[in-house]
Amino acid sequence: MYRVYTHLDPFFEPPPQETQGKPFALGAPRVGKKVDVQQRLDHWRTQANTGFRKAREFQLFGERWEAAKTKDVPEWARGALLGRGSGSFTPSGPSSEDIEVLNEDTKRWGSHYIRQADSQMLALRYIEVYAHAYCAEWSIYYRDNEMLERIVAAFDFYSRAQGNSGRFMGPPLPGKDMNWPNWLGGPNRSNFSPGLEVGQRFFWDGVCMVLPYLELGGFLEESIDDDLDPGTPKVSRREAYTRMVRRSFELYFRQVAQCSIANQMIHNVLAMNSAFQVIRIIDPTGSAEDVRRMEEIAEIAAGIGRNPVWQNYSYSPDGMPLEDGYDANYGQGGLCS
Amino acid sequence: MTEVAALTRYPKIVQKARLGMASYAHFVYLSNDSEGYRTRRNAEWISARIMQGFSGLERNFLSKYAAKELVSQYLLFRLAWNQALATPAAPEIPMLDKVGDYFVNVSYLNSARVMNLNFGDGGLTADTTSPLVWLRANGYSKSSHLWYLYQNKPEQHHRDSDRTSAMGLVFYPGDAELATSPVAPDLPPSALYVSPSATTSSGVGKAGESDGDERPESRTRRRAERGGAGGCAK
Repeated sequence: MYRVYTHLDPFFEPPPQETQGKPFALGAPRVGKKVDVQQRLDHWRTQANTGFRKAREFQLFGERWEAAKTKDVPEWARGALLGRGSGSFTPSGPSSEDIEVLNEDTKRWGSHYIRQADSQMLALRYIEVYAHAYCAEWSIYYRDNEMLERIVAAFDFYSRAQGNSGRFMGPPLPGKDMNWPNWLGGPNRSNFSPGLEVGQRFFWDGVCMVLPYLELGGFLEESIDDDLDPGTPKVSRREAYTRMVRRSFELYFRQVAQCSIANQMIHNVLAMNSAFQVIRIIDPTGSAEDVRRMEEIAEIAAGIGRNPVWQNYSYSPDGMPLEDGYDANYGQGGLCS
Repeated sequence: MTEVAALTRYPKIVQKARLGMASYAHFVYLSNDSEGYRTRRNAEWISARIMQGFSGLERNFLSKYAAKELVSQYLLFRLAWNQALATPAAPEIPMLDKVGDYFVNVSYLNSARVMNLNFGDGGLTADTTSPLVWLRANGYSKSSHLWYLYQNKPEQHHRDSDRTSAMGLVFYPGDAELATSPVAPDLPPSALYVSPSATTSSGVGKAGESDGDERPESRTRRRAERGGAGGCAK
């Protein structure tokens, strides 16, 4: 079907016996429908509202919680986010197998719901979605208390699920990859902490938007069980959330320095900044030291300061992102998203 | 970084982000989107994931960043320039005599696939067949390059230089030529490369002067020890 020619001339002239196709003729440009700015805005608001409605389906809350209860889902799992679409209520696949690390009920159910939050906990973004739904004047859920209730339900669950390390995703189940994480949370919080957890950024961004309303609504003074330990007293949400955000802040403070790849450092420092913004509101007690650490680590991530672990700079003197201090292969990945 | 600058407003980071944007401007060009609005597009050669060609604009060709960072795509451009235009010929660049040696120096022959210094997403077995093929096509041929191409011959997935692709058929050395490759590359058994930040304008630096004078193999080992880039956001 094909012939191959080689030549040394600047331009290739096909031989006369070579059958040539007909040049393609462009038709007249299609006239697009003119859409004015208002129509464009209305369109995207409608789309966003559709998204808000849809996002409600991805949480163990409301109707989904009522359905889950019929499957014996433990009460403490209420509020968990179901980022894997199917939103399976009960442990399935490897999470349902007879594995030693899942012998405790808390770990079996908890591991299942951490997995449901998707890889790198990206389902935590629903928190930000609920916050926008509550705060945007054009939202069909504007100032709808259900959104605040959803956010605190999620925060209550994840305050139990977080490890001492500040992470939510534990080590993989035996023989599985990171998409089958074990439970790190209460009552025996683990220090396990490798890899990234990009989703936390949205978790803290979302709650930062609604903290004043949670305060006004009295949500923060209500007591919850934040560690699944019957031997410890309940604490106020303010206390539970403060502990949680402090753990996250420390997590990312460590993570930034442990990476030597520009885009990962930026992901981590953005999550750290989101946690920092919440700390400034909910726990300003250590503000001077927090401010110093935030700025120091942000400058390391931006290649202004030397990475204290790897002893290199994450950006070249001209501002190009580097990997391991030498390779700019990621281009805009480390510069802007 | 621009997001960090915008969110934190730390003055040093704002300044660094501006510097980065100025540098990155060498890799983008303005175009129109499907609705006629002005939009920013990447020069394709910035991303190893796209690598569908290059914009071919003279200003990209002249970019010092492109010349510094992007060997393969520059060589492809140089080849096209010299083949299509002939005059003026692309300028002589002394570094091109040495750049192929670098790729050979950072190769590690073993019982499995040849290992290499890890470039970006490439992984430990990423190979550098492509720049070596384009170096040969541009007239910078050495027996050490042939050694490398022979060692990587079984691999057929090299983008641009796949032996079965149109470009590969024309420019990749044939089996007869590959069979003449030396048993070992005729290069010194060790080499030291230093960070460009510590070099003079001629690109030569003294060992120990640099902030980044760590040997490439140390970086590769260090990277392997911490499990590569698994689970990274890239």
